Amino acid sequence: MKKLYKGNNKGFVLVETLIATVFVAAIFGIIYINFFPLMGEYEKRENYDDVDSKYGTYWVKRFVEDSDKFDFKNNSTFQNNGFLYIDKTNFCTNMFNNAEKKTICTNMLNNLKVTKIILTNYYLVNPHNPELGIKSLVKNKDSKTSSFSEELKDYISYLPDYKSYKSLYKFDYRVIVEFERESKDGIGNTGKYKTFSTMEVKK
Amino acid sequence: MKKLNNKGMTTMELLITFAIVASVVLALYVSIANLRSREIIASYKQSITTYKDLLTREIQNDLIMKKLTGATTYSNKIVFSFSNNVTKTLEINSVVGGKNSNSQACNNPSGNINDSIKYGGESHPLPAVGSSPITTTSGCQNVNNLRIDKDSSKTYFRVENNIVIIKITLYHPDLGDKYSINIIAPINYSR
Repeated sequence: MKKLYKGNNKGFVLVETLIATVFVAAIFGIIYINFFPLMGEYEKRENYDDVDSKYGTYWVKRFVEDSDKFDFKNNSTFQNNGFLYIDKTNFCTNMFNNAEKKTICTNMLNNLKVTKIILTNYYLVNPHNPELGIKSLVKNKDSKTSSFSEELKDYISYLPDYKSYKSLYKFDYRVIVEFERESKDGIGNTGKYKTFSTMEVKK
Repeated sequence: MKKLNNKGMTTMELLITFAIVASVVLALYVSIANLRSREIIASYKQSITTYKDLLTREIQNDLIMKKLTGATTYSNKIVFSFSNNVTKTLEINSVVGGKNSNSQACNNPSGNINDSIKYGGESHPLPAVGSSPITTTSGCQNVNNLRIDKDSSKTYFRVENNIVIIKITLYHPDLGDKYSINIIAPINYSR
């Protein structure tokens, strides 16, 4: 008679089961820890290109396009750095000689809660030299971007590269705007937060 | 013949197994209940954001495309005048009055009440994102948790230095007032 194979039928002892459970729990823990920051990332992106910031940025873009003073080609800072970083107090002075327009611009920026404005090329990463462009400068921690807030750097890093000199509709430049807003939570505590938006500029 | 192990588990082993399974189920239950609550809040947020985005876009498109030439403000409405001699009214219909109202909870509500915003003759009721029974002038009613808030020191509509400022605070007890309607546009701005 053929001899039957005698397998090990003892099964696991309790300690083995417990050790296996601990291993599985540890793996789940590691997965959770890695996925948890993604939830924070999602909440942060809620403040990118929201409807209020988009229409606010539209008016900043209009002021740049309607400017009777500013020209990208003649601005030495823009030509040297590839971008111009202005706060709201200097923006309208840089844009308008016309006193009436300067006043409208200042009042609009105050009411829109604009804090900082970046004027840059349409591309964020230069199509021929990937080391140039504001996104590359932020990524490489270039000293020219050291005065940017961390939130602004995060937003620029989040944006696409826009690797071409002009948009489909021949827009050469771009404006990136930072807003500082405040809101109350369900129990009435006030909190401040930054929102961001970008728009193409034709000049 | 192959001899099987027929000993089975001891009572202690069974008890420990049950304890482990029970603790895992309990942890999962708490997590799932928490996720369910977050999912409901996220769906509320989505509904309010969609409402705000669509209404803001409709108003802003008129202010920009039709060119705003004037605005007259009242306590609960604003009348826009455009370059093509057309006027449009934006009107608030706040029933209970948001978080600062002295609303009293009640039992056995007999109907539903919701705030709304009317623009260009078309009424836009606030999205239904949960409700609570509250005593109103019409008796005990189920009132939408999302309400148009009115702080007595502030107004919905202002015109300052030739700029129209609209702030309609939408308050929800779980989300606060982050998703309020904010519209700012210059009057008679030309290139």
